Amino acid sequence: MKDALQSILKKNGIEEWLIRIKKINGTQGYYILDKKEMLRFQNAVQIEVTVYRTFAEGDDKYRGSMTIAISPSMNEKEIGEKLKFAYDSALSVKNKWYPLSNSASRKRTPLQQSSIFKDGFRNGNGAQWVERIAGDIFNIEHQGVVFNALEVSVSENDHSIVNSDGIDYSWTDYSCFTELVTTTASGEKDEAELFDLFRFSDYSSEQMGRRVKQQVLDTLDRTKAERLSSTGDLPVVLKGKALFEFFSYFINQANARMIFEGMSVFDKGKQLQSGGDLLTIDAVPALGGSDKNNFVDRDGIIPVPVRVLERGKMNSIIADLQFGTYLGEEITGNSRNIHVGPGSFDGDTLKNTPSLETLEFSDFSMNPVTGDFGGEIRLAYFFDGKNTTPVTGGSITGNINKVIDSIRLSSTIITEGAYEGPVFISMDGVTITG
Amino acid sequence: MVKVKDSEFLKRIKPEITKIVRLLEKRFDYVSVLGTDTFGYKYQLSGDNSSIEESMWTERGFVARVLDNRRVYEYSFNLIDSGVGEEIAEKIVEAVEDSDPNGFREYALLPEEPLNLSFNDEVKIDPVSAGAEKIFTNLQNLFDRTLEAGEYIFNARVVYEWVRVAKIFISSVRNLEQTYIWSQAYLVPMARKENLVKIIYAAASGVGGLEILKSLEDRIESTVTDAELLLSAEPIIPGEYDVVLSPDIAGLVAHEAFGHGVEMDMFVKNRALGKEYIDKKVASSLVNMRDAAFPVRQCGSYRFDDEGVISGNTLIIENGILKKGISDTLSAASMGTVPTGNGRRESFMNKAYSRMTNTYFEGGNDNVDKMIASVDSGYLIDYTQSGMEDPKNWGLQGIALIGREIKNGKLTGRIASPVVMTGYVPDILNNISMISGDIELSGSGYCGKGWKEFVKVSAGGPYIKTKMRLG
Repeated sequence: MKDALQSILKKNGIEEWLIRIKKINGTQGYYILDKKEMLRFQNAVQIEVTVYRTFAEGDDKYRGSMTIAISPSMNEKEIGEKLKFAYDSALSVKNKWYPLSNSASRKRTPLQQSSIFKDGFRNGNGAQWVERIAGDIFNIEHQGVVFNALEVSVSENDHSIVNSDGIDYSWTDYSCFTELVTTTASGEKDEAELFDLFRFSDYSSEQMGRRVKQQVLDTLDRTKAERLSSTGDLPVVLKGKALFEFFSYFINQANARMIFEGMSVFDKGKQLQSGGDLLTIDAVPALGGSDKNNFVDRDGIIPVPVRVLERGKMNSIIADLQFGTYLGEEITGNSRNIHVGPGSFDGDTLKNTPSLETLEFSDFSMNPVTGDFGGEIRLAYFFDGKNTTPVTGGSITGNINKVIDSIRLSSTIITEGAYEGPVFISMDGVTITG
Repeated sequence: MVKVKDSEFLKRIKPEITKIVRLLEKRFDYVSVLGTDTFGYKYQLSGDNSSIEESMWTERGFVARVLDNRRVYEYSFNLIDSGVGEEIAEKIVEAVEDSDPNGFREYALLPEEPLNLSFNDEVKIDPVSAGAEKIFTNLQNLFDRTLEAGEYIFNARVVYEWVRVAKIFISSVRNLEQTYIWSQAYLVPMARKENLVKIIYAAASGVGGLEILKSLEDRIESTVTDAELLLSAEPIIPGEYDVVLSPDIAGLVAHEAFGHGVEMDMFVKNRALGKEYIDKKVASSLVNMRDAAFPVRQCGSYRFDDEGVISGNTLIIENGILKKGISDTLSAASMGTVPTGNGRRESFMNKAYSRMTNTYFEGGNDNVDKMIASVDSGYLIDYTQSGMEDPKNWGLQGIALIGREIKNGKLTGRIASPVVMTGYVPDILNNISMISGDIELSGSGYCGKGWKEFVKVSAGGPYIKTKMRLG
């Protein structure tokens, strides 16, 4: 397909272009209790072509572009017509000129995914992996908790990216997820539910076991949880999935496009923090098992780690090809995993300090522009200095710029999905609504 | 009005798809194939930068569903051409036979009634033939007027996206075709005062074309005013308040608080409290709530769903009583009910679930001015940021960008932001004491099942007065 597309581009006189191809072989099992509701198979190819134009008005040079999807079922005539439409339309996009590739990136070596799935998911292998992962989960001890529904999806993706400027990379990765719904067994005070969507590219039955066991314990505690009432001002401790979302604020603020459009207040060299544990945050292209690993980004750039914050000081910008060029930055490519350095807080200190320790939210959200964050609590622990009570309901809200000087980071770190960093963080100045 | 054109591709490939269905009928108890050829473009303009890209909703492919001894399998594919039907049918048989047949739930689907349907919608200003230059001229006009409208507006983003949906559904007894266009547009002013940056949005959406941009033009000034008001917004003092919900927020409540809770695949999995409350009171007797893919014309509209069931118009809550859920075919088979036409997929690559379409509270007899006048101390809440369902425990999370303070029956001009709304759903619905007449639906966002499986929906309603916990 790659060669056929290049030939059609040439026939249509299109000289500047980029082709992205992703071939997907996937299998999915959907379970209600421990019975399969359905088994699904995926066999598809996704193709995108970006057509570029270079043009000038007076002394100013511009870059036009348009990205289109090409279906593998399109014939040459259809593809030619769609490319021509894109080529004509690209003239209406009048952006400052930027190059199609970057010499520094070409000197980098693309990372390769190492994964237990190296034999892929073809020829029945996918269904076997679905059964194996589901079996590992169903075999985990879960007395008092029902595994109500489970989805297991495994997918092998063969990627290639090629452009008119000589970039030509191919690689394979794996995108998988499990979604497990746990409910306390009937007869408990109130049936409570938690669900967990876990995305991964490599598999460890031990890691899955730890995650599911924690979910079982959290589900039991949610059953016992009391409605959150007024707690007064307390440090709030964040744990679990909310940490990625919380720290994503800094990754977004360091994004070249956000800076170019004026939506970021990122100011290289400026000290953000005057107190608390000083934050060191990196955007990294690959983390073991993450589903957000980026071996080559959408522009064909091989990304490198970027230290966004260094000891509380704004350090470097995540520079994609277009907006990084505009800002005059070294092109780093786009990395989507977050690494946060450890701090000074240990678990014993946490146990002795009155706090609201939040584990599960309905949907913890962080506004990438304003830094406002918050969410409804599904499970938290309220420690009043003497007793710990599981609580549910209510919400927390805050603004990152107002809490940043009080942030304390745990000294232990965890790697889970696209996040590697402190197991928990604590901060003051968060509004707790009971 | 212009008739939306058929997909030439689906017309060309339909005989091959029919052949696949006929071949598989010999081997399986039930066979259907859904075919899609959906495409569209997103045009974006922001200061010194613009872009055109294929819509995230573009898809061209097929999903075959087969029942083998009451076990359900699906096969998604997009590599097809004339003459390869037999090969694809063989691959489907092979995939089923290579997998372990043990450990399945067994399904007996209701027999399909024979049906032929061909639906081509009409559009006022056809975006397919409008061309990039015309669309960008419209967006530039919106952009320029937005920047001129406020003292603190330093940039804006304007977006227009259209999508032409074409689908076919073929089974042993059904032959369905539909084609329509939906559009959505956003205006996002960005306000800055010293180091403080705030953004807000106005959105327009609907079944139709470029004409939806007109409604954004009418909202430039109010949106810019709200963006600048955000620069002086204060956090809310946590507590329970009397609230007046805008149609946008009423839609968020309809969708998150109750809509997800009546998706009947959640009943099958014992994941929704609503299952226990059919024919019981769940809301104030003023409340009527509906999910309708047709005749409502918004971004969740269609004539048949992704399982070949004709679109539904389901009265979910009638005078405060929960009457009925919405279902896909498998959940209906499990529950012994008739499918309501709510089986929807993110794309041909995905499973169908019970999903909402256009979900809304019906209008009442009050008006927003009377509602505000009746509040001693509370907020008028507007601009949805996000929401999340919790149908098992009937919790609500919604985040709004603006709470307009009401004191002694009047808006004070002060605003709070952001506003996190929480509460126990039956409390919120039972506390509804006033409902205005006219309803508005908005379909500019999308809906996930949990954190995935995104589909286009709309939600809305009238202005509603109730009580909520705000933080």
